Amino acid sequence: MVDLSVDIAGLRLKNPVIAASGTYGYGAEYADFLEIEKLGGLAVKGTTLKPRQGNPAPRLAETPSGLLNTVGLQNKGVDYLIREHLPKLAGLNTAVIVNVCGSTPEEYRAVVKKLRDQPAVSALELNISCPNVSQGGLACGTDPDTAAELVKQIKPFCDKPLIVKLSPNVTDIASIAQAVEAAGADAVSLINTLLGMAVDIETQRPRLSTVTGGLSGAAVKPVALRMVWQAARAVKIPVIGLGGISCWQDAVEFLLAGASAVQIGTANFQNPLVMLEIIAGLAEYLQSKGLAKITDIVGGLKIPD
Amino acid sequence: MKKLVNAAVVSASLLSPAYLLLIVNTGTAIPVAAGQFASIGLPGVCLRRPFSIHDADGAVLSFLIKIVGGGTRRLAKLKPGDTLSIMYPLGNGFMLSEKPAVLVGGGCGLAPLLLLAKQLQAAGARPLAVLGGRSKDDIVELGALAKYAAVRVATEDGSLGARGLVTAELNDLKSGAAVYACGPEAMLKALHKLAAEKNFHLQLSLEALMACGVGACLGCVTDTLKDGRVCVCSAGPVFNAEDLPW
Repeated sequence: MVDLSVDIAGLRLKNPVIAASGTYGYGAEYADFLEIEKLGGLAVKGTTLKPRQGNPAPRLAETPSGLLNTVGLQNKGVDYLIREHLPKLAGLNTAVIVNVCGSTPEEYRAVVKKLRDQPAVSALELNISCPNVSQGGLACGTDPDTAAELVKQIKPFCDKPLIVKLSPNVTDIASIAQAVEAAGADAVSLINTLLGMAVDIETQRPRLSTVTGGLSGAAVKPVALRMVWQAARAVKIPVIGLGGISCWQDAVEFLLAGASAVQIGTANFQNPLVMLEIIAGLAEYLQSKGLAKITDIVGGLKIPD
Repeated sequence: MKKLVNAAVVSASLLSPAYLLLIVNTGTAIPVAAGQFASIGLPGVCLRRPFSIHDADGAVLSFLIKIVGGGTRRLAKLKPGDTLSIMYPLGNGFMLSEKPAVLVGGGCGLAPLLLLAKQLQAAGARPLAVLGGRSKDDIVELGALAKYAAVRVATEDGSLGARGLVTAELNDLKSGAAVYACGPEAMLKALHKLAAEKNFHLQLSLEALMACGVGACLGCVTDTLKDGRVCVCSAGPVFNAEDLPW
């Protein structure tokens, strides 16, 4: 029996596999297909202070080995989350991570304050990297100083591990990771989606209502892996890796590159059971390598001299 | 209860150059309401694809699929015994009404209407089905449908049935009918307008590109009057016409 459990800045996970925000709803959507409590964690949809309608359709475009989306943070607001979803999530026996978003530092802070003392919530993931909202989101995640300032303003009000979700749409991921670490982040997760675009050549129109959107899926994996490796070398806090992970082998790559846990997003759409397969594959990998704990491979990348 | 199964292909046969009838055995009998759909993993494409359930008989499901690209072309090449990942039944089907039933299908929009006609007939109705398409190549499954419904056909080029659009076939429709429709958005919008003029109750099955198919990713939204933007997959795909702000 191998030990898959990990500790992310005080957040205990039974295994390092977390459903990525925006891809697994609130868990209930997939409850017919699997026992959600087998997952290491579940990051629920980006939550704002007030309800948001999100962007108009079309919100999706499939690209080679990838998916563009422009959902635009549609959600019913933090009060609805607390009232309707948290009571159900509390009984799930898996770590619940609430992804928090806002248009202003005040809005982020208000959401974080409302989530204080909510026992159903295991950690917060500060989304400073959504590419699909006009204010906040990406705007504050691409500049180290702005990102750090936001984290500084949030951190005193956060009574749970604070994970900061980073954007890949930057020139130097290491400096952003270091800036949010210095500002008090307990962990970072990366990457959010890469800004992308697709055109319908018949209608000569963009395929997304907002012209550009966020690219995810296997197409982004090499970029995500590179950024996770760069961030993990630059900071001491734990790194949660995501971006195109579609199988256990992908997850092992991220763990070796320095991720303490991984999130699975777009692959859930192809196979709602993929996270269970990844968990099983990680256990078998450890056994095949004669290792006892998943933490034994974190950051274990061997780079020849 | 939704299930994710590896279904065995029973047959994949072309009904016309562009229409495929795919029959699978899911190994498990789940009740299906007409208008519900299945999400099928296609070899070689990233996202699963939603398809209306055309017919359901115990564990045997059939799908009427228009061949439009690489994924559906590969479906057409499946052989008996091949397996397909199928998640079903998804979404909400048509609400069966006791009012006189008229089924309107444009092209591949016939897909959910066969099972609907069957279920209406089982409930004691004798529905009328109106099928439309550009030409006779778009009109398939007439024989199957005729078992459960009286069928009228309209084609834009007049190559089969009346020349013109399906909406013209509804001009003599009595008010108080229940119309169930699936097809291209232009047809649905024309019906939406007609429903208000002629005072019939209209349910529409919408099509959308989907990622999750279960209301988790919020990718397939449509605007509604009461509830704002809702997922086509989980709040639909069948909507009451009066709920749509068209």
